[in-house]
Amino acid sequence: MSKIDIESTAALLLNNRLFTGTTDSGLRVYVYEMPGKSSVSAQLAVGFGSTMVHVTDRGKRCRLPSGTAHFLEHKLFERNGVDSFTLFADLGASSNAYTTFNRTTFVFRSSTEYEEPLEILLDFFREPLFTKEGVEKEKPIIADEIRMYMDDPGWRTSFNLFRSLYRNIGINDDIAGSLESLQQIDYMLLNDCFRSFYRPDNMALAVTGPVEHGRVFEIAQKLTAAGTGSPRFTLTSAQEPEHIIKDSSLDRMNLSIPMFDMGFKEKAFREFADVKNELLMDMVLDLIAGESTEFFREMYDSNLLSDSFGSGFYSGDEYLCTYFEGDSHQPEKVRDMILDRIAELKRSGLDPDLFEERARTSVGSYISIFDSPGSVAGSLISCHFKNTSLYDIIQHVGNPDIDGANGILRDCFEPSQCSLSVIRPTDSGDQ
Amino acid sequence: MLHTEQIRNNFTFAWADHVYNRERLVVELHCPLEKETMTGISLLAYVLSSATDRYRDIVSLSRYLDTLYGASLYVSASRAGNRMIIHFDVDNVSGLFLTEKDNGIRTAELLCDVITRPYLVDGCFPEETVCVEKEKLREEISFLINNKEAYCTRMLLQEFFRGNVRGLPDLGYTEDIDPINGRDLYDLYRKCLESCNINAFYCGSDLDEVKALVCRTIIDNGIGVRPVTFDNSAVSLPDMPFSRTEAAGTEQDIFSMIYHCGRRSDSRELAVLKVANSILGGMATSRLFMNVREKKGLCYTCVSNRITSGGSGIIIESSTSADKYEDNRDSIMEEFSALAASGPTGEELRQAKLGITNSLKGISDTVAGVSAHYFSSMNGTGRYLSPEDEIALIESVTSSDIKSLLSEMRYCGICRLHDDE
Repeated sequence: MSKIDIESTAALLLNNRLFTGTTDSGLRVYVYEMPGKSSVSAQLAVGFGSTMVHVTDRGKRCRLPSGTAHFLEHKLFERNGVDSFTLFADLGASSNAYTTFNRTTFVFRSSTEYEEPLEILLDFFREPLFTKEGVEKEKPIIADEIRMYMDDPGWRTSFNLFRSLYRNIGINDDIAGSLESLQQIDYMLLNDCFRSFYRPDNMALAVTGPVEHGRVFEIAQKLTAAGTGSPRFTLTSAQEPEHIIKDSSLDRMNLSIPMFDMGFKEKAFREFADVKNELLMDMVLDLIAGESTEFFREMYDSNLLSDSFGSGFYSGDEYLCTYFEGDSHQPEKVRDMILDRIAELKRSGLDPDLFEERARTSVGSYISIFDSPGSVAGSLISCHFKNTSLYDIIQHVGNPDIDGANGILRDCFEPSQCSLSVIRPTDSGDQ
Repeated sequence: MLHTEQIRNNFTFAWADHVYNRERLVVELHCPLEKETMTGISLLAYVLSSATDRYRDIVSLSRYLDTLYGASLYVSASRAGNRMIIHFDVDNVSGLFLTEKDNGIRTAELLCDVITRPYLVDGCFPEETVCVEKEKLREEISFLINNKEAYCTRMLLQEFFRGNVRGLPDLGYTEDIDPINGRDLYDLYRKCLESCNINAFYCGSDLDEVKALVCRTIIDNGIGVRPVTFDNSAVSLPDMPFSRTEAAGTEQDIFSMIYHCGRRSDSRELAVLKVANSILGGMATSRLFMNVREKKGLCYTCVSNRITSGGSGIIIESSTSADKYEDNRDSIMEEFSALAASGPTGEELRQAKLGITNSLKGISDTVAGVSAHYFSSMNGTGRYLSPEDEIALIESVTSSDIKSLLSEMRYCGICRLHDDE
């Protein structure tokens, strides 16, 4: 097992550095003090992401236009006609925002002067006023963003896969929506979504770097107010069929080599949700086809795979999708070989020596988080939305459970739940 | 804090104070950039990273890296201006956390083995390995078209540097791959080891041992016994701006354009270039972002980047729907002309300087930041400029410096990818 003392490592990395609290308004605040660093990173995340389109509107079920969360993110960076990038830049801070499947995150990075940027960040979330003109003006910019992603083969392969696996869950829609759904979004919808989801009790703040936790809590306390009134929208779950929609999809682009993404529609994440299972899933995926396996070498040497090959999973309350992706002249053969490999591993179980070696990599990755203010802030936010903590993670990293990993292998990766998405070169005659 | 020592006239060893959770060792070999050898050198990176004499295939090598707590080993060959750089890089979790105190040394030994003890059969690279990696290189070259924006800019640079080694295609030529065999490739590697300049960087808890190990490895193996002098002359600008288009079946029109002054800049002028680029299109409050994207709504992406190869220049990249292409392109050119004519406002200058200096201050937060800054500085100007020195230069930049530099830049050309229609 790993030659690292988990308790002392956890103490060294976390004790007297990590502080958590909740403001009166309900905002959860995480502060990680890093006295020797030269920059501060702050992330404010909202539990409203692109997949969260199923809502009840004053009690009645309906579906938000896809891309709504992303549109809100764009508009929040402009307040009262002033671009917020300018406000941060004025203080020498850089800022950004992004929308993922499960949340929207606003970030800034500044020098040791962090109080004013933090006040600007928190000020975004006081009542904004989206105007008809401002929202309509943003549409062509977002339309160009959508078209930009259509030119990205990796993006297209992934979303074609999601559409083969899921019928109703929002993961099958592009994060920015479609050119059609964009037109259904108006300023009133954005105002209502803001009031419904941008509430402190649906948000988390992480501030890391050479900061003083007491000061961060004071600012957060001062600048956040509890949401008022009853929200128009409440998130609800989608009715998703248990089985996949289709087992393959084919698209064409101006490419040199076919790209593929094979994925499994697993049991919904809420049935699987556990930080331990997430860590084990990472290990299992690597042990199926990672670079340390003979299987990978055979595929690589046979020119079936290249260095671009990788694996991973997407998870949210309503979905868990495991995948293997890369480029290959024979994607169907790769899929068949991976399915055979999984079947063989389900029978034999994971190799304990390989499992132990891979466990050491998890230890190294965990410790590495703590070098950069940005990566600590990102990890704190990620933990918050998964209802876990950096303390929990190190316990599991330090005590990996091969029986648990074999259990995951047994319960997941069913061939009947697998779909293959392929993009082939436009001028190839392949079917 | 970073320290450098000139071990030999063509061998510099740099080290940073170790205050990180990760350790890193990097060795770069700077070799001449030639059309005849660049494909082979590109292939070398694949072959060298796949095995060593002790770990004879990618699986045993990967498993060994796992036992070192997920150390990552990276070997690449890339063109930087007028040179080919073979970059060997290993990083690992700091020994401070481990009970195995030799973890750092073992990681450094592995890197030195990769450089000097590759897996050989009968004194040359194994044909089987070379054969597999040739296919990977061939695919990698053809794969370049998948990232359309990068492909477009690469096309722009090839056109701009036409007739100059700086314009050779990244990774070389597919037609040069076939004839390469294990013996020729090993001979090429020996030549690279002999005729090169060396830059090494280390940050970790075993400085004395690792420094001695690296120096021994370089000197005892005759690496860099023939120092190389690189031609740093500036590029000649084209007489007329070029325009190249390619039907690529893209949803958007994707284009890159270049402005260049055709002469080399000193460190101070490079600081001027950095600030000018930031104001034009290098940050989220730049003129291109605020005016072309936000005010006119002509595109989603519109950014500028500095180029220092063959002199100082700026590359602008954007993409938009076909019906807006001309308006978008013309607006970008107007923004460049306006900045060159009037210079930035005092507020723009203050913001850009503040953003750049804060970002330079943050470099020391990670070992990756420190090493990237070191190599970027060395490979850009040939000498190390610390973040503090760079900050002083940035602070000295004036509006008229920017006006003067941008006014000297000429519009040199554009490349565009579009739908087939």
